[in-house]
Amino acid sequence: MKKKLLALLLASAMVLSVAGCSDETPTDNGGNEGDGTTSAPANSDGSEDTTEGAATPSGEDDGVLTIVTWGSNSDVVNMKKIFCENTGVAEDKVQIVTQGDNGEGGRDQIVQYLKGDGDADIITLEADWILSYINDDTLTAPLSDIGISEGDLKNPYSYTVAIGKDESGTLKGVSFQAAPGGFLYRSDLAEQYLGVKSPEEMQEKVKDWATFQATAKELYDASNGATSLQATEGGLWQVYQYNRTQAWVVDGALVMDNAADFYDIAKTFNDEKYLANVPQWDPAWYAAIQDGTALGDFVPTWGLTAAADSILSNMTGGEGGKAYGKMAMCQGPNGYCWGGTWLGIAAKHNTDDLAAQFIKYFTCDDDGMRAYTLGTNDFCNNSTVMKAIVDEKVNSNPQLTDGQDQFQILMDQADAINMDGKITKYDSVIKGHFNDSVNGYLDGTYATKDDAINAFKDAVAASFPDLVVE
Amino acid sequence: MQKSQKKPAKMVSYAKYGYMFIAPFFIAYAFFMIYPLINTFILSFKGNGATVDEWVGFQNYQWLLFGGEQRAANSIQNEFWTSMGNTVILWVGNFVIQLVLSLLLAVWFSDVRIKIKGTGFFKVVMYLPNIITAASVAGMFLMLFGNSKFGAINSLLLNWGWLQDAFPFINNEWSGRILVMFIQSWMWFGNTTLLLMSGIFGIDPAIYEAASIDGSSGMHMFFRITMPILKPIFIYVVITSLIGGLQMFDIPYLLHEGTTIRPTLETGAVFIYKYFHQVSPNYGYSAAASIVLFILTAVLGIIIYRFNTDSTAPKKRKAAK
Repeated sequence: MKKKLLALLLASAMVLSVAGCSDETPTDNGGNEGDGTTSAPANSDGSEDTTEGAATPSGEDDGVLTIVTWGSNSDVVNMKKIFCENTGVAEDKVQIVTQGDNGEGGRDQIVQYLKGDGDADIITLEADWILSYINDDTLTAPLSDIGISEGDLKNPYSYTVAIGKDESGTLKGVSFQAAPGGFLYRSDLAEQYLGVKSPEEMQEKVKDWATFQATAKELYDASNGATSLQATEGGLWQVYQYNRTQAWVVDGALVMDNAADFYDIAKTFNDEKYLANVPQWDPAWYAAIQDGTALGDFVPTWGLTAAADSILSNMTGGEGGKAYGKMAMCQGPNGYCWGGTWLGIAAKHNTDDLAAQFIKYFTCDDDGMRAYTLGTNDFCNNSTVMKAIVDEKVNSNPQLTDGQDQFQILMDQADAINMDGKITKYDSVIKGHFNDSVNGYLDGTYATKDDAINAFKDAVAASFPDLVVE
Repeated sequence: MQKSQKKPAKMVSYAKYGYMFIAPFFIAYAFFMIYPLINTFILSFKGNGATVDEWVGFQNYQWLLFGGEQRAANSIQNEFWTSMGNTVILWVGNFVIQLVLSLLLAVWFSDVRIKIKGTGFFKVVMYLPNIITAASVAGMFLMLFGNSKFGAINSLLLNWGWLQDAFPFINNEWSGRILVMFIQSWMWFGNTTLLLMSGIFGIDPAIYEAASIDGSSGMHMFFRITMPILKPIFIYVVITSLIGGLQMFDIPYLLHEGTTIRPTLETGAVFIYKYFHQVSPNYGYSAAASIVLFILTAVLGIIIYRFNTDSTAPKKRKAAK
């Protein structure tokens, strides 16, 4: 009896592992029903391609659009839903593969995935590291490969187009979103401690850095030390770094620009308790907003979406949450742009028509972009559509006080974004090292600012042996 | 008789089937173990970043071990030695506690005079932490010992008025290390206890009986009977723990808030992972560090083995032959 059981177990384990293998292949029978979106004749009658899918050669359409992204990217999940609902493409024709759980994980792991055997058509790329991908032809292909040119894009914000081009000027990435940001704060606490009743009044309180600090002091005193104005050092840096005049790396050498001054600013903020100094992307960040340890933080468009794991949803606690409907947006001391996701084409793309349809729907189609914006509360990359939505007053964000329309606040900043020559392929890693060293300075790991800067430069030099770091 | 005479002539070799059956293992072994091992050696002589495909000779080793004139070289050297230092600190810290605790428990649980009831139950309980994945354990400790006032321990201490400000348990150099040591000991003491217990159970009870009749104390029996006979198992535990300790990765890697690994918890293995896993692929540093770690482990293992084995043992065996 025992032997029989063991044999059964082993047999089932074998069968399961074999089944597991075939599941991994992106092609499944769903890809063969063909509702007009696939163009490959080879597949229209297909039935025998469970084996074929195992190693789909590039250029051969497998009928399933594979989007490679990272775990925390909820934009893509929503895009898939909206795309399938509105175009009639079957849900099983669009599959999402996740690599890494956040942007940094994606940065490190999507490249491994692309070098492997897995199927990939569209890949999502973050502003901080898009250049390391689109400048490598073994990873990504030009958008013209699937028939999308710069002219097809509908009223894009120009900075998104500039970032999507590789060194030779070929368009290899398009963004479905623009990423201007503002200051998101607890409106109830602002009223209680600062007597501020509207986002306009709040903006007056944070209109420049001097006023921002004065308000921080006022708030800290009024709340008896319970509430700091700003939650995270990382958010503060995102706004501050927008004022850089040069990229992190110019002619192969690290450029500090205004970064050195930020150590002092962060130190002041921290010492005076203007900064709650909770870590970004951590439960403590959201808890600090909910219990009023921090009044607010700088959040860009993609953090304000309706998705359950967006920054805003985490801060408010979702429907019925502690801060639901008690937060508001204002512009903040200076406009800035933070991140954003681009869609690129994997070098081994094979489901071209569907990929083109998908990308066009979110970048070249007014109706699609409008549907995306209204469906997700994200800021689509189409100035005309955004202007219409603001003018018609059709957007209302239920997570914000009185259903405030955040687009109205961010509209002007979106037009003003200019990132020309300010982003490099090194940004993501450098930014990580920089924030580490600033935090090390704040928590006392480094005794002096010079030590901290030195540690930062050391870390960059170690990560990028090719760079000149003096 | 006849049968046995005929047999050699008719003998069919079934050996080839045997080889066929074991072939899959060796193929998998060659593919997943031998090839990566050789490739790591090769990679350690190649460059980093843009020069990842070029031969650079011993440069990686030189930078890691001795530094150089460039900032990158010194920085790498610094980080590598810090990470090796961290590894040793974390290993010693967790190993000493773990071994003392395990030995004590093993002796108690196997002592015929104390006769603890429900040994099976305790064995399971002691082994349980090892079953939980490191990720869950790290997640649990992050929640308990969160740096901010939202961490469970911090909020308790603040509520009781024992602390004025939240204490950064994880970010603080020593409390972070002590946490890692504690977690590692807690996760592995059950495993070590079981190993030592099985060793102690293998000792002939008659020896203890004889000793107790002659009036020797518990202490005396432990040092004169248990430890000498337990030595082979003990050495095995030390060496496996040493190898595991030098490769310590999961808890130090996972125990941090925000997005970056704590520099005070960065072990050799974390260093290797970190440089291997960046967009600018620094395979050279990682591979060289792996080789250094490999050599170090081998040397330390041999030293411990030599120090602890009876030097007369091989001679005895020869004499017996």
